[in-house]
Amino acid sequence: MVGCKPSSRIAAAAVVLGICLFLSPPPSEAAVGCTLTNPAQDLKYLFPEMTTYKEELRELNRLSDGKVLYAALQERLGSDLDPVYETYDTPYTVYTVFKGREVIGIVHGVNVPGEGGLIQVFLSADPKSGIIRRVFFQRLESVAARALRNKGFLDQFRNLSLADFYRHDYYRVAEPGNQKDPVARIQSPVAEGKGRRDYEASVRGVRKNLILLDIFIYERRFEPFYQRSVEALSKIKAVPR
Amino acid sequence: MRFLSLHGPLALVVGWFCLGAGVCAAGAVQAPAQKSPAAQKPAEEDPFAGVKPDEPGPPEELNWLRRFTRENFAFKLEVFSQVSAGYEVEQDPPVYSRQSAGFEVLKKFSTETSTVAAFNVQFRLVRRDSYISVQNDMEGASREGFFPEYHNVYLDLYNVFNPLLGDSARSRHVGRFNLRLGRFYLPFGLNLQTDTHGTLLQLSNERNFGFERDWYAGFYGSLSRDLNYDAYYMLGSGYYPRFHGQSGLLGARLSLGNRFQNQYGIEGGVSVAAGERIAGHSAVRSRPVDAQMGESAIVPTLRLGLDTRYTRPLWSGTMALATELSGGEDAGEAVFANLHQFEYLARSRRWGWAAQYRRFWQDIEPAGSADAHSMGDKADSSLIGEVSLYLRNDISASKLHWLKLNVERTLERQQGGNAWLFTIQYYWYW
Repeated sequence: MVGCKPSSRIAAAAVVLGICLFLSPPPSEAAVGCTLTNPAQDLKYLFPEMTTYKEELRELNRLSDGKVLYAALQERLGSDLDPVYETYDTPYTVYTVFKGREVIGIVHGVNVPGEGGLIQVFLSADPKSGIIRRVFFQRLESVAARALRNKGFLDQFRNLSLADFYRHDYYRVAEPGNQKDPVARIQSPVAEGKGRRDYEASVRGVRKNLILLDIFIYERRFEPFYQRSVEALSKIKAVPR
Repeated sequence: MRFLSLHGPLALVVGWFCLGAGVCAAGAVQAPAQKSPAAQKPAEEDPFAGVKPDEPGPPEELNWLRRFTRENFAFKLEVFSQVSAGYEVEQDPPVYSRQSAGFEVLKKFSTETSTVAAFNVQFRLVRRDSYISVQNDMEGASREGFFPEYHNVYLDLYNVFNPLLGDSARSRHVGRFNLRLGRFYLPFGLNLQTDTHGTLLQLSNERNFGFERDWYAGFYGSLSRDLNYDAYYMLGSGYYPRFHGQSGLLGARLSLGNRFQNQYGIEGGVSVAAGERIAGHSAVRSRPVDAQMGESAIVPTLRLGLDTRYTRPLWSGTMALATELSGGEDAGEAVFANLHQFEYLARSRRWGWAAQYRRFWQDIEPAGSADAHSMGDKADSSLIGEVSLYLRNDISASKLHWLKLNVERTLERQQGGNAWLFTIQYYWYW
């Protein structure tokens, strides 16, 4: 190539470019990951007593049954996965927080598309029970950012688990207002109109986060609640009006 | 707040209406359906009665090789194709071709209770023909033909003093003392928190110091939630780890904590770099520097820097406004660099555009000339515009795929005449 004519060099470059474009995947496969920008400080803020933490990269596409789990995620979320923010090859990072040798918390984040752009929903969960201890946003591109970051709103998620969200699927249809449905009591901090979709995206993000944690960390221990909810709802639909 | 004040009365009316209709009480995740016959059943028929979470099984055992390649391990590939053409450039033909293929390895190491280290290496095999001086490939001036290149080569050791500390001290200092060894971006300006590995638009350091990465050892971490620090000793040799008698550089940066970026979209910092570096380009363009340094090209260096970047939603997308300012001396000659950049990325993350103005001024007396102005200006400055089409555009940069068109107009040149430069780039990182 050193002795090539300039025109042939340019032609070679054009061929390389053409091959690259030919090999390129379709646009719908874009992926977005979600990690803490400063894990040490963020985790220390959440767990003042912590001594160390451990990061673990998790990707559905590197699991043997990844395709099945990805389909299961969409099914349990109850809505389509976004082709940019929620792809099959999106990487996730799970943070395990220690005090000495004792695990004191699990922290995990997800991206969801909002009306104004990216919403990164993180939560810390009890390492044994999977119950939410705290929900917080990292990036929040929304006109309602201030309202959504409000502590009063975020505290409503404390002590909820994925089981509560699965139960909510049933109660909101069969028994609205049932006292056993804490998810139904979550109050939006956003008035109707602008920002409302970001509130809904945030709640969806919490649910998605819990489903992924159930897959990555809790070995799908909340699956019985999902199955029971599906069964109970199918019975309701079978009852003639 | 303005939103709330404008829409407050309307929201109040809507809220009252919703309360009356019993809609808000449903938590607004989804509107409740009509009560079905099943809703009438007594509480003891709760379908979830007796349902309990499954008990976890024993953890999966992996051998060391599977642990190495499956746990916190990423192997990335890269294709980079660039063609640049110039109008009134010295090359004949005035078309520069730069093609490369490469890879990147990222690996984090953990013990049972802690992530203790990370390793990163970037490698490219590059083919260059008819080199033209472009902002993103100043290193390529002496690399005609095939050239194997490394870029990042570093090892991070997290919380390095933990083995010496008790639990209480570990807790107090978590994230504070991380050691970095190897080659990485200079701790000066925004480059530490901006990946310019595959981009055409570059920040100030390459022009300001003669290299954007250097070999170094030092500490970084968080002083508090509001303040991060970087403090390193650098060889001052740029690409190769060379000792030609230079003392090296001490570099430090204080920057805003990441929470300012997350909550307010603001990044920023102050930097300092002082000592000696090997900078052939500085000796070439300046007679006093050339006379002092001779063939060693060792340049006494002082730089102070101030940088900031503001990111916020704008017009169905996101904008970022960045500024880097730097002043100091090269062998006693004053230097001043400034860079201002506006970027816009559509909410779809499919396209974007950017504009950059950059200027590097040095109070030079050109090398080899008695006349201070015979070889050109005292500054290099350019105005650059760029349009990007993204096929993949991961926010954490784990998967990138784009086509860029970049147009640069040089406004001042220390050496040579002004020119138009047109670049098309294809980049794929996966």
